[in-house]
Amino acid sequence: MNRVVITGLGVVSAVGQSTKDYWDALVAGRSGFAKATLGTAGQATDKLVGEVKDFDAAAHFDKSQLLLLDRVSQFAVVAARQAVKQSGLDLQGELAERTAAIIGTGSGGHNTVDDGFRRLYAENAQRLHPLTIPKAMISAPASQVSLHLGIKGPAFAISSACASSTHAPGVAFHMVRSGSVTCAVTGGTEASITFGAMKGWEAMRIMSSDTCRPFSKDRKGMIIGEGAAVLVLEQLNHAKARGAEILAEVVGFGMSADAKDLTAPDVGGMARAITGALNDAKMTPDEIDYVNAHGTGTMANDLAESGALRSSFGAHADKLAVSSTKSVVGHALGAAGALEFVAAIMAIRDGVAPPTMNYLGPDQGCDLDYVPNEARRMKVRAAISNSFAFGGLNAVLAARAFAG
Amino acid sequence: MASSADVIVEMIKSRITFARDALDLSEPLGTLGLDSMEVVSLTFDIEEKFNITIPFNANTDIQNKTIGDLIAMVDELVAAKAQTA
Repeated sequence: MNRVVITGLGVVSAVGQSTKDYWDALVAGRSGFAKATLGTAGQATDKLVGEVKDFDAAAHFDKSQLLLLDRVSQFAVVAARQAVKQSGLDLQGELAERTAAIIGTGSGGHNTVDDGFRRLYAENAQRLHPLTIPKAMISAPASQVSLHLGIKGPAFAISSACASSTHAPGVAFHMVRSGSVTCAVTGGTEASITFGAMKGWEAMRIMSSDTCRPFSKDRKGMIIGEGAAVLVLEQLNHAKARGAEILAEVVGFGMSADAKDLTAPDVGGMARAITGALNDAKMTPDEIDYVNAHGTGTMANDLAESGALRSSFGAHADKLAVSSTKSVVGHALGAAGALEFVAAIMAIRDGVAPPTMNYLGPDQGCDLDYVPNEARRMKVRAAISNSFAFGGLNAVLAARAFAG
Repeated sequence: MASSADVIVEMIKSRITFARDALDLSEPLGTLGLDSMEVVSLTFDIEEKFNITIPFNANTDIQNKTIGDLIAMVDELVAAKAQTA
């Protein structure tokens, strides 16, 4: 089995359109929340959202390319370009064929769907744009990453709602580890702050009326976000041979399904995914210092997740620094897992646990160390990143500092 | 015509799994054995039935509100709607 390392990161987020800007904002606790301004989304909700502001698509793509790219694919390609650039990989010849592009998304080209259907149903349009289907398909971001980066190996989408972009790097990790590919460009993307989707979230009544305060007393729910994050995973020997800078090592991936309820979280299912990631990494609980939690800010998730961490980590749970960066960028749904895995990797690299912002104090059943309101300088030997999706689909990634 | 209270109580009864002859209006929604998404679905049914929009957050409003609170809220919203119509 190959050891698998990370050699590139890319981010498009509500608080920055590069890994550095994103990470600086997470550490500073600089919120990206504001009223929705995209399209007509603001007419569907008065709740705050985490939009990627001032995303200049024309600066990244020419006009003919933009005709083919929903916002969700634009985010993915921009993040993938950043990650591949940082990695220094030259995706030509055989290496291009030995590289995978695996991109998670919850709802694919949702802006294309929402715009098109509004024209059909509300404005009685006679026809849709001819590229509606290929822009909207859930695999479009994976295809566009492959096309724009010249990746010719296995390429596909993974969709598991809010765990999509933890499942995607997880599967990619196993493929690189097994040797079926040499490298993988993998992560997730989401751009579904639309009139229709926001109406859907309003109907679920789980969006916060003020802000996102995960694990806190008086938490009122989640803030919907968007964005993308992409990582370059690579066989250690390959990275070493070309003298690449190694950012961290991916060591474990666990997944499970609750098989219980479409929306209610399950402590047992979550714990099996966490323990699965530790087992896959051949690590003991006391080797983990930081947890980037799923931490949506809903009553149900945060309570269940705290219980699952206690169940999987035992006494070591009290020594973990646990934070939810959704308190800064919101819940980017199918992009959340990859955005948060990037945060976990930066925590390892910089020796800083980013804070859980807007925290007001402990709540019943939420009694771990949530790094409240202020970043903490600390040694992070290893970290996990949790994603627990609607439908009971759980995925957890583990990474550790690279040590030769 | 059935009062809003009767309609709402029937809607709740049809959703709870254990048989009940009468519901105590002072009973909190959180103790009916409905999970949060079932309460959200119930709220949706009431909104559709009475053509109103009920301000309600599943994170904060389930445990404390009683069936009576819900009925009073619906009556108030229906009256407000009639005034503006």
